[in-house]
Amino acid sequence: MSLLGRLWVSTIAVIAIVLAVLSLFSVLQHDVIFSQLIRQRLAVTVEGTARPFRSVVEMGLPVSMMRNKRDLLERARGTDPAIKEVVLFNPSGIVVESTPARPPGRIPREVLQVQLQSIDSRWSLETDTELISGASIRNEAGTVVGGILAVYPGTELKARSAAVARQIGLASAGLFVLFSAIAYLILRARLKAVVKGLGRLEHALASLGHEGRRAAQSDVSSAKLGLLGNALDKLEEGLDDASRKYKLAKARLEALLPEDAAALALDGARELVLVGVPETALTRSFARRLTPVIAALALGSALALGYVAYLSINESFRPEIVKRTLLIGTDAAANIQRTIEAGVPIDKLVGGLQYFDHILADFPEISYFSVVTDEPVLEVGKHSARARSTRSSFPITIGGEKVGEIVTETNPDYIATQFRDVVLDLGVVVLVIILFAFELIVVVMAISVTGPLDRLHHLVDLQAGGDFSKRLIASTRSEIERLGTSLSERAERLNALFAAARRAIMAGAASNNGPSSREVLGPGFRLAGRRPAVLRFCSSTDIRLPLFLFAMADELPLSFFALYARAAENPFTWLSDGFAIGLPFAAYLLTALLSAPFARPLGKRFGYRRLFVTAAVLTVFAKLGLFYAHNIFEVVLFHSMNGIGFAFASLACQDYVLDMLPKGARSRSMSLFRTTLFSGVFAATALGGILADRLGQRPVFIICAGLAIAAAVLIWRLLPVGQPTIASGDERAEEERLSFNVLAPMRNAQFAAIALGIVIPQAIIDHVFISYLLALQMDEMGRSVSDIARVMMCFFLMLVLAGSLQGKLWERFRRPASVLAGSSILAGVVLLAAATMPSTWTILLAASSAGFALGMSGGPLAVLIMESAEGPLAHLGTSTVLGAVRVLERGGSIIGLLLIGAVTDYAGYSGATGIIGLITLAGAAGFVLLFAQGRKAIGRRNP
Amino acid sequence: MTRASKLVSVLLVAVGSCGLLVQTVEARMKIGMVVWIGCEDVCRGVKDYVSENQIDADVIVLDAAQNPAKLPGFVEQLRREHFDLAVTWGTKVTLGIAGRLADHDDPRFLTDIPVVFTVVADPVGSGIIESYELTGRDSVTGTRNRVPESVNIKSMRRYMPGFDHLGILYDANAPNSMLKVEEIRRLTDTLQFKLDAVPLSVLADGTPDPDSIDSGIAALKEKGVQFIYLGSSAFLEKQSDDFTGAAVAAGLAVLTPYEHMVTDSHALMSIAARDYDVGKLAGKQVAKILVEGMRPGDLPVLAMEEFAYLVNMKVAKRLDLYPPVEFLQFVEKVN
Repeated sequence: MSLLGRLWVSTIAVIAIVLAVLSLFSVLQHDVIFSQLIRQRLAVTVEGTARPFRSVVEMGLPVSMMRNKRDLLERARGTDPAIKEVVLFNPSGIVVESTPARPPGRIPREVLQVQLQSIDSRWSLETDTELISGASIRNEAGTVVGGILAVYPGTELKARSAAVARQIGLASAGLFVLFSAIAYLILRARLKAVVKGLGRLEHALASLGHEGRRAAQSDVSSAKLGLLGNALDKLEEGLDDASRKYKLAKARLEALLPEDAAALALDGARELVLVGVPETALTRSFARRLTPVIAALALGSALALGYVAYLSINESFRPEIVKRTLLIGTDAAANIQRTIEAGVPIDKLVGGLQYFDHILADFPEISYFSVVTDEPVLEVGKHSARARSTRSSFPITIGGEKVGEIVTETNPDYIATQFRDVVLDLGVVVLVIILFAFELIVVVMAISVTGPLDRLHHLVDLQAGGDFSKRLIASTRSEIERLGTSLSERAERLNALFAAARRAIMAGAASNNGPSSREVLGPGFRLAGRRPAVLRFCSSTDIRLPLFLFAMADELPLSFFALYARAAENPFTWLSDGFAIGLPFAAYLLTALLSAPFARPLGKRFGYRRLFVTAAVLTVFAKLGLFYAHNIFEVVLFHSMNGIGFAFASLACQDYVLDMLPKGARSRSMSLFRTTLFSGVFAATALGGILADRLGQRPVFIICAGLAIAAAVLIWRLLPVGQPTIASGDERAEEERLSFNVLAPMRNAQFAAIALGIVIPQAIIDHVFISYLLALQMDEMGRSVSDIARVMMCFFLMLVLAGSLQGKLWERFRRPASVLAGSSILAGVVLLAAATMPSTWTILLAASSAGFALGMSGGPLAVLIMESAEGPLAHLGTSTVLGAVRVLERGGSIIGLLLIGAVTDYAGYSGATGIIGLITLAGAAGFVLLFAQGRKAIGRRNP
Repeated sequence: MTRASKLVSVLLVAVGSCGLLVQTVEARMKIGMVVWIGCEDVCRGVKDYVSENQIDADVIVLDAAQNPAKLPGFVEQLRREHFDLAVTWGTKVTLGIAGRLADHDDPRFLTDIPVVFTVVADPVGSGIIESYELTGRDSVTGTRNRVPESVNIKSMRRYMPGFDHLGILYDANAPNSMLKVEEIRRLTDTLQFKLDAVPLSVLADGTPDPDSIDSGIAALKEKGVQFIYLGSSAFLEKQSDDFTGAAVAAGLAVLTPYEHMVTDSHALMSIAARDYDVGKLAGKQVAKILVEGMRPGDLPVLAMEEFAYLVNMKVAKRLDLYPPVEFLQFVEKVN
C-alpha cells in the first residue's frame, strides 16, 4: 500500500475510533442525564408523598401507624400513570405498605444501601429494568425512620436511549464518510510533494542498485516542502554517502574475487539488535506536517459529533424540565384543591405560606408560587414581571366551577445551571476523547510514517558510515519501507560478497580466523560476513498508548473509590469508618512504595515486556477482586495488589524509555512519559465519574481490567522480545532508590524545611484531600460522582497548567523558596475556606488552587532539593537525599491518610479538610523559618 | 346378629350419640364481655372477630350500665357459670373485675379465669399490670389503643402553631382520669406548654355532675386555654355531645382519643384507632388464649398498629380554626 493509502487508512481508523468512542460515551452521557431527569420527575411525586409522613413522624407516630397510608400512596401513584409502584418501608427495608399491594417482604438490599449512603433525604438509583426515586423520612433527631420510593419502568428511558443512539449512530456514520473524504483530499495534497520526494530517492537508489548513476534531480523542489524538504535533502545526502560507501566496498570486494566467483548465499539465524532511536529532524518535520491535519480531522469529527450529541441531549432535556415543573405545579394545585374541597375558604389557607415555602425549598426549579382569585391571595417566591414564557397556571375548581388558580414561574437561572452541567459533562467527554485521539495519532503516525522514517534514517546513517552489518525487515510496501528494503538488500549483497571474498582469502591461509572487514576493506567499513543483523527499534512511542490505557485502568475509579471503600462492610468494628476508608489508599501507596525498588532488577532479569505484562495481570486480578469485594479487608487487599501492579507497570515503561533510548533523548522521552501518564490519569478521572454514574461503581472495575488487558496486549506487540540492552550509565537507579535513613538529611535545616514544610503537606493535599476527602465531602453535599470527577479533573488540569506556567516564569523569577512558600500559603488558605464554607464552589476552588500550588511547586522543589543534595548534604550522596525525599513524601501521605481518616469521625469531612489547610499553612510557616535559619547557617559558614 | 343384639347395638349408638351431643354442647366456650355503657364498637369488634375466626365460643355481654355496684356480681356470675374468659372494657370495669396487681389473692376479683382488658387509658399507672411487655399477672393480658400523649400535644401544635395552653376537664373520682392529668402535666416542661385542669363537680353518689360540664368549660375558657383535651373519662365520653357542644359554643377546640366524638359529636380532632379495630385486637388476644392455649401472663399487651388523624371540618368552620394546608394532606376529614 502506498504511503498515502496507508496514512489515509490510519487516519480514518483514528476518526472511526474517535467517533465510535464518542458515540458510545455520548449515548451513555445522554442516558445518565435522561435517567436523572426522569428520576427527578419521579422525585416530585415521592417528595409530595413523603411530606405528610414526615409531618406525622415529627408529631411522634411511626409511619406504619398511619391508617390512611395506603390512600396516600394511591394518591401518589395517581399523579402519573407511568408510575409502576409506590412503596412505604421502615428503616430495616420491610415493606409497610405498597400500591399495588404486594406480599409482605423487603425492598431490595441495593435500594436500602443507596438510602443508607445518602446524606440527603432525596435519593435515586437505576436498576437494569427500573428507575427508582426515594425520599427518606427522618424523626426530629434526624434519624431515618422510614422511606418512600416510587418506581418507573425503564421502558421510557430505553426507548429514548435507543432513539438517541440511532440519531448519534447515523450522524457518526455520516461524519465518518465526510471526514474520510476530507482526510483523503487533505492528505493527498499534503503528501503529494513528500511522496514525490521519497519516490525520487527510491528511484535514485534503484538506479544505484543497478550500478547506474544517480538519476537527475527530479522536478520536486525541496524548497516547497520547507523543513521537510531540508530533512529530505539531509536524507538524500546520507543516501549519497551510503551509496558511495556501498560502491566503494562493492568494488573492493569484487576486486578480491576471482573472475568466475560468485557471492556466497548466506544462511543461518539472524541476530537481533535492539536500537533506541530518538526522533530525527525528518520525523519531527514529517510529524509537524501531518499531525495537525490528523488532529484537526479527529477534533473536527469529535466536535461535530459532540454538537449532534448536544442537540440530542437538549431534545431530551427541555421537555423533561417542562414536564417536571408542570408536575410540581399540578401537585401543588391538587393539594390546594383538596384543602378547599375540605371546606377551607381559598382566602383562608392556613399554613399556605409555609407549604409553598417548603415546595420552593424542595424544588428550586420553581421560583414563584401564587394562589390567585381575582387578585393574588397568597404569594411566595420571587415574581418576575418578564417571566411570561416561564409562567404556568393551574385552575382550582369546586363543583366544576373555577374558583381560582395556582400560578407558578420556573426559575430560569436554575434551569440554565442544570443545562450548563449537561454541557460541561459533554465537554468533558469530548476533551477526554481528544486526549485519547492524540495518543492514538501518535501511535498511528509512529507505525505508518515516523517509525519507518526513523528506521530508514538510522540505516542510512549506518551505511553512510560504512556499516553494512545491519538491515531492516519491512512490514509493508510503502515508499519508505521500499527504500529501507533497497538499502537492506545492499547490505545483504555486500555481506555475501564479503563472505565469498573472505573464503577466497582464507583458501590460501592456514588460519581458521578469517580477516575482518577492516582488514579487507580498510577503516570505515563494517561487514559481518554473515546475514546482516536485523534492527529492532525502540522508541518512546512504543509505550505511549499502553501506558495511557494502563493509567486509565489504574485511575478510572479515583473519583468514587473513597465512596466505594465507605460502602464496603467493615467487619473490624474497632476500626473507625474514616480510618477504614483511608486504609485502602494507604495500602496502595505503601505497596507501590515498597515494590518500586524491585521493578528495575525484575525488568533487567525478565525484560520490561514481561514485567509490564505481569503488572497488568496483577492489575486485572486486583480490579476483578475489587469488583467482587464486599468488605474493607478485601478492598484493602486488592487495592494493595493494584499498588504493586501500578508501580511495576509504570516503572517498566519508565525504565524502557530510559534504558533503551539514547542518552540524548532521555529528557524529552521522560517528559513524554510523564505527559502520557498524566493524560491517562486525567482522562480516567473524568471518564470514571461518568461511567460510575451510568453503569454503577462495580462495573467500572471490569472496564479497568479490560483496559489493563488491552495495555498488556499492546505492550506485548509493541515492545521487543528479550532482556534490555542498557544503552547508557545506570545513574537512573539513583532516582528510584529508597532511603529510609531520613534522619541524616533532616539534620540540615534547609532540607528539614523543605521536607516538613512543603513535601509532606503537599503530598497530604494530593493523596488525602484530592484522592480521599474530596469525594466524601462532595458526596455529603449530595453531588454526583460525575461532579466529583469534574472537580478532580480541575485539580489535574491546574497542576499541568501551573507546571507549564512555572517553567515559563522560571527564567524571570528564580526564587524557588518564595514560590514554594507562596504556593503552600495559597493551598492552605483555600483549603481552610473550603472547610469553613463548604460548598461545591469552594471545593472546586480549593481543588483548582491546590492543583495550581502543586504545579507551581514542582520545579522549585526539585531545584531546592538538588541544591541541598549537592550542597550541604553532598556527603550523604544524591541518591540518599532523593531516596529520603521519596520515603518522606509517600510515608507522609500514608500516615496523613490514616490520621486524617481517623479525624473525619470526629471533625467531619469539612473539619478534616480544614486540618489539612492548617497543616499546609503551618508547614509553610515552618518552611519559611527553617529555611531562613538554614540560609543563615550557610552564610555563616561561607561569609 | 340376633334381634336382641341388634337392639342393644342401636341403643348403644343412640346413647353414644347423645353423649357426644352433650359433650359438644358442653365444649362450646363462653366469653364474658363486660362493658360499662352497652355494647358499642369495641364490643362489636370482639364479637365479630370471634365469629369471623370461627372460635367455638359464645360472647355474652355483661353491661354494668355505668353502675360499679354491678361488677362484683359479674365476677360471681363469671365464676359460677364457668366462663372461659372475660373481656373487660375500660379502666373502671377492669379494676372491678380483675383488680390490681396487689389483688392477686383476693377472691373478689377474677384470678382463676383469663381476663383480656381493653380501652384502659393507663393500665400500668392504674396498677392493673406491671408493664406492657410482661403483665406480671398469670391470668391477665390486654390491648393498648392510645397514642403517646406527646403525639397529642405535638399534633395540637401542628394544627395551631401558636399553641401553648392546654385545658383538661377531668373526673376526680376516676383513677384513669386523674392519672391522665398527671401524665399530661409531666409533659409541660419538655413540650413547653401550660396546663390547666378543672375537675368536674361530683354528685352525692360519687358520679360526676353533668351540669358541671358547662361551668368547667367556662372556667377553662376564662383561664385562656387554646385547646381542650379529653384525657381519659368514660363520663365525658358518654356526655360527648354536651361536652364538645359546650366547648365549641365557648369557641374552644376539643382533641379526643375517641373517634366517635369527632364523627358523631363536635370534637375538632382525634388521633385514635378505630374502636371497632380495638375490639378486633382484643379478639386476637382471646384467640391466642382460647384457641392456641397460651397463658395470658405470657402474652404482652397488644398495641394498636394504626391510628388516624380525624378532623371535623364543620367544627373547624364554626371555630374559624381551619387546619393548615400540609395537615390536610394526611388527615381524614369529617364534613
